[in-house]
Amino acid sequence: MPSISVVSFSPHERFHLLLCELDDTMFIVDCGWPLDTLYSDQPDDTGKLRTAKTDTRLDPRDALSTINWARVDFIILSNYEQMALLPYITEYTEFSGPVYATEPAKAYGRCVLEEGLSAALQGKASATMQGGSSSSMASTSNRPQSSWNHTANGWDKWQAQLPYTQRDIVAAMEKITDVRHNEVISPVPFVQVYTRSSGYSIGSANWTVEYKNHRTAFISTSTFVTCLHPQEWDSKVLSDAQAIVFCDAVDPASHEDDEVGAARSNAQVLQRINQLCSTAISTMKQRGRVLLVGEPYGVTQDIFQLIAEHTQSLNLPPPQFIFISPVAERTLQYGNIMGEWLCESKQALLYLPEYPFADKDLRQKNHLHFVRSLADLATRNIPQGNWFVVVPPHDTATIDYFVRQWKQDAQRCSSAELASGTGMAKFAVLMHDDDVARSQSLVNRLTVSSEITYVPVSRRLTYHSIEQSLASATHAQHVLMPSPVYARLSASASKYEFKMFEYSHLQATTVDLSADRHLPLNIQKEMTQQIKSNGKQCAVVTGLLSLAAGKIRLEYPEGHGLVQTLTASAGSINNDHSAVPMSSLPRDLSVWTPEKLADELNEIGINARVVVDIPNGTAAASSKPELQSTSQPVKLIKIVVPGGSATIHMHGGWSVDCTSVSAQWTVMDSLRRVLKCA
Amino acid sequence: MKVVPLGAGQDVGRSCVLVTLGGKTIMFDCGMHMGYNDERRFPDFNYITTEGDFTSRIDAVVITHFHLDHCGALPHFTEQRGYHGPIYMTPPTKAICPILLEDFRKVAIERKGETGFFTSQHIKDCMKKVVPLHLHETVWVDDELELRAYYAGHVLGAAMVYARCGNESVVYTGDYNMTPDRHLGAAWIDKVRPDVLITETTYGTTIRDSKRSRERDFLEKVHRCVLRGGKVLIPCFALGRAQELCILIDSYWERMGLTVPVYFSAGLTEKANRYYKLFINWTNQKVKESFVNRNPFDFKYIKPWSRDYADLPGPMVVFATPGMLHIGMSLEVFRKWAPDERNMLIMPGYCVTGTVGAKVLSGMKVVEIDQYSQVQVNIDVQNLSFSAHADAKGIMELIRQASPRNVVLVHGEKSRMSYLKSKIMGEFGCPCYDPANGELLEIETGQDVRALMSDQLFQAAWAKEQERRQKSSAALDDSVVPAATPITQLPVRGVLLLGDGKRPARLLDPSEFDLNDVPVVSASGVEGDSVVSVDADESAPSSASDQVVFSTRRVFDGTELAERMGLSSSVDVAAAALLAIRELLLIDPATQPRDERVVGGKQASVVRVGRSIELSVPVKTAECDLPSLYVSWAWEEEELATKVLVVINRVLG
Repeated sequence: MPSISVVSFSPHERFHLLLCELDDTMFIVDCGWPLDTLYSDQPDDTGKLRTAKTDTRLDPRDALSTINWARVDFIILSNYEQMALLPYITEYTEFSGPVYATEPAKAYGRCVLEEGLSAALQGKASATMQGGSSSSMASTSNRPQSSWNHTANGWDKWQAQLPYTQRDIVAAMEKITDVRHNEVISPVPFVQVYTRSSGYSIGSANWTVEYKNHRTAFISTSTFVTCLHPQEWDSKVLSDAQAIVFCDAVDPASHEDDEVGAARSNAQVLQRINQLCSTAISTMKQRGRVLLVGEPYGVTQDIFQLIAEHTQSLNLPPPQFIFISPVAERTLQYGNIMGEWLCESKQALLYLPEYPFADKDLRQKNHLHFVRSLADLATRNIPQGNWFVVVPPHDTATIDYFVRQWKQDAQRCSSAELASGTGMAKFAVLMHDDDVARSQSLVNRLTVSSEITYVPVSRRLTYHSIEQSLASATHAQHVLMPSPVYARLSASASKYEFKMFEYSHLQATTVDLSADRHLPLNIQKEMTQQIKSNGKQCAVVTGLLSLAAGKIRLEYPEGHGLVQTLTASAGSINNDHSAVPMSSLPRDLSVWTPEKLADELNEIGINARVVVDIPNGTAAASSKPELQSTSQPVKLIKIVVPGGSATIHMHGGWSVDCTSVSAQWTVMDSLRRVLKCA
Repeated sequence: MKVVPLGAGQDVGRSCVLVTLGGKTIMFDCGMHMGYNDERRFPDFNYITTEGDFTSRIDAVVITHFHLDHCGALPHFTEQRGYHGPIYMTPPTKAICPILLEDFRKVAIERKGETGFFTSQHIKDCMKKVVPLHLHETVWVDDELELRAYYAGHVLGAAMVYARCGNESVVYTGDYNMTPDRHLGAAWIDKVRPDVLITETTYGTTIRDSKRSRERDFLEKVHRCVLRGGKVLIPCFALGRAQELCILIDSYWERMGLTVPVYFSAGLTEKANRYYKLFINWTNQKVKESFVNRNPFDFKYIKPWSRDYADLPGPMVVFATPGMLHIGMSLEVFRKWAPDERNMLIMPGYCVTGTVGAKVLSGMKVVEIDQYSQVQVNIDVQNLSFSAHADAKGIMELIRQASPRNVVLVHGEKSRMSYLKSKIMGEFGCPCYDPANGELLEIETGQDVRALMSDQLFQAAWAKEQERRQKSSAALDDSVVPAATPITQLPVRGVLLLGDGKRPARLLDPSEFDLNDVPVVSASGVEGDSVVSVDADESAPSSASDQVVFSTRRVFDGTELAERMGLSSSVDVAAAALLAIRELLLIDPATQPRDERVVGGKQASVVRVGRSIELSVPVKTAECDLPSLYVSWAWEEEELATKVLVVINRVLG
């Protein structure tokens, strides 16, 4: 019976790394790991605040070393947030199989990884230089003092500890094979994989692995929310699958109201985004400045889009949009050329044709600026005034800088402005990150709590929506979920027809699949025709199975080859029969007397005795004509074994007559041993 | 499988091919013919039905790209003839196609005053029904029919389409190009082994110079003209070719450091370019990689045109709409520039007869612009074909890639097709057809039979092959790595059960073969079977004195068996069981029953296998009236007997 086993290697709920084994096929679903812990082996204050999750300090290299990478057949990636360990895996392990991801996931994934790496390098560089030399970098000294060895030596050492480099990222990305939703690929024979949109981010995918007509769906980070820019969730992934593996669910902390179902979560997300937007708009109306803390992709794109639209429709003076990130330019541009991966309303724009995002327009009007880093900002000549700055949440130095600078400006500005609360006096910090722990620690650091609007836009599946979605899993037989989700949902398990299982970190969970034990096969037409023409319904066939493109085809062997319906070839079969063939044993049966044989049989523990009988009267009347012809009393050996009895006639050739099949095997075996010994 | 070209059979224009596979009918392309103004312009839809119920007869319409000879008749078919089924296009085709249709509609109505032509609203309504078909995505039209698009490289968004239904599959190429050009990649397809490959053959006989050299040629001509102080007029439609030429000129200007102004007229707006910018994913890799720095369709050297510029002295290059010089800016500029022989007119597209463009191309030296004025044509007229089609080499390459069983040629001239036909049949040894319009082509598909294979049998065969490999590699040399070559072929031996209406054919391991898989042979049916008499040379097994003969009485549960086999109570269970066993033994050649002998009436018989194995129904005795079978064999044939016993066990349970 085929089985699937799932081992989770990631200790983090938001990130997944599942090692799955489906009979002989081994594959990895997602390579997620939090980027910030990937580069630092020292806990910083944010780390400590993270509810003392000590295992976040776990070195992924240790975790991954237990996997036999040479045996892993392929890797499937769900979205760009789940790629952190991919460069390490492709460049530093023995893994050599294909990696599959959608095109946007690949393009954005590279940006995410590069941003993470450059942030680590930058943060480290400034820390090593003890606060940095330039004035703009001075702000980084606000960074909590960590126990770094502040020497050049330490820098080198630290760099050597990095799991991978920029070059590795590029190399890893080149190894990814682009796929589309619903594109069926076959990484190894008999295994077919395809994706369906998960709705979470652009190009995000839920993979289905099909093996022997059995479909296993991996529900990675998903959302039922339809008001954001990514292509909507495709529910077919659940309804088709026999086994479903859920990977994560929303952090309950970011979601006060856990009972939010699919329908209401949409309204909720919309409402939260609008809340952020209206805060930003009202600040800008007062000619204030806005700092949006968020990665230059994902929900930030939606908020940015909404704000750009609002400023235009409200006829506000267009602000200067400034993205401080080394990858922002690319991530925003990709949005405009990957229209086919966006939600329906944005896809419709393609046919007008309009750009799905506003950034193209703003850029042409020179209201959009991409700045690689804070240091870079100093060299740029961006008109002062109402700025709308976007900074990724990990770049705390930059956030600190702006907050401090703007606070100073507010203190310095004229009393008139102060009184009216306009201009330099006013600024707002917006945060939408759904990683509550990280955001909360950031909020605590910033000393301007009154200006901060923290509205987590959590769009992941809630427990409740997972529960709701399971109703559509009509073919499901097995559902696997991570322990926290299982803990919440196991109570309702009884109402489903499928079985629920939990899996947890580094614990292998194996599920037997009641799969159809048949593989699809193509048979050369001539073969079946030949059988038909012979007037048969079935026949023994000998042929070649050729395996190509994940398909099996039965063909005639090269040159000749026939359906063997009539040619008997008994000798060629079962050459590996373990028993010694009788023909090779000494055949001189005449040396045996009934008594001797009975003795020998008794010797090996068979209850045998010699009896004298008249053949016509024997109970076990043999149909053998020659035996019936004899009317003299003959000596027979009667053997009684569990389950039956046997009679051995030793007249001419031996004739062993058994009353049951089980008796027959015992007798045969003992006779073989006796004759062999002799 | 049936293939009928309704258009483009032995012809170029109004591409429309009907394919019926696995009981489903697909219409590939729905184009118009630019050479006709009468009913021959559209494909002959009456061939499908004269009753107008197209929706029930056609399951899907697939449009491969936005050229009018592939999509021009679509609004007519859907809105005026009443087809309401699904229509599939790639997103760029869906975006650009309506613009071209609308433009053509205007020409037809306003220029030629045609009536009964489809309206703008028709085009809009038609496009609403279009389902986007993404590259490589498997789309299920219904439960059985699946479609998959592959990159064709002919124009932005051009696709080749693979369709499969049941056991039959087809690839329709549309127009394609096997060599990458400046902004598009080369066509590519999986080895899908379709039953039929329907390929275009526009340039089927020529081994053409690559598109690159034609591009170079074009640029050199333009360059020469501007060097001698001439003005270059390129009339073309706002979308499609315009962007292809603009990207050429733009990059050439950049490379050569030219400063001669290049303009595009109002029709060629930023909006038209935007289609190309939005679908940059459909261009080639090189363009895609560079787009972050600069979208190649953000032209640097090409500036908007103003009417006054036409009178400026000095060289310039102007792109102007429309392409056929029948109206508008291009005609206005042409009128001004035509008399000067230093100037150059490059016609990159097709011209409808009767338009100024067609007249100029035909070589007329004096052309009537309208009924009041005529113009002297001294301008250097160049006709330039950029359409990217595969040449003979490319077509052969595609056939090699897809490995079809049959090839059907369309979209080409008949004379050229016959040459290609012989070449394809010679090189690939597969049948090749070139049906005319309306000619029904029925192709016998030697398609594989779909079946299921027992996992157990496969695992066994796989394990055996691996073992064999390990042995042979161990025997050879230690340096040979056994895992270096993947297993692609393995010998197998199993029982093939043909399918019936309900169940597919199955290939099973002999041990998995079950009684209820065999069609039940009624006891009476065997009566008529020819009974082979005992072979004369048969030596009585018992005659040898050193023979060890086993015999076993196999008792079984008669009622249970009768139930399983669905026998009526009146039938002798043991005899029926014997017949069933015989049927099973027939399957394996090793246990082929040698003969049988009717003993005492039709119910009792002896089945003999090998030299000594005998199965019979014993005479019922007082002590043992349970249903039983009597089996005997000589020890020499133990192996064979074991097999027989296994079969017996399987029947008797």
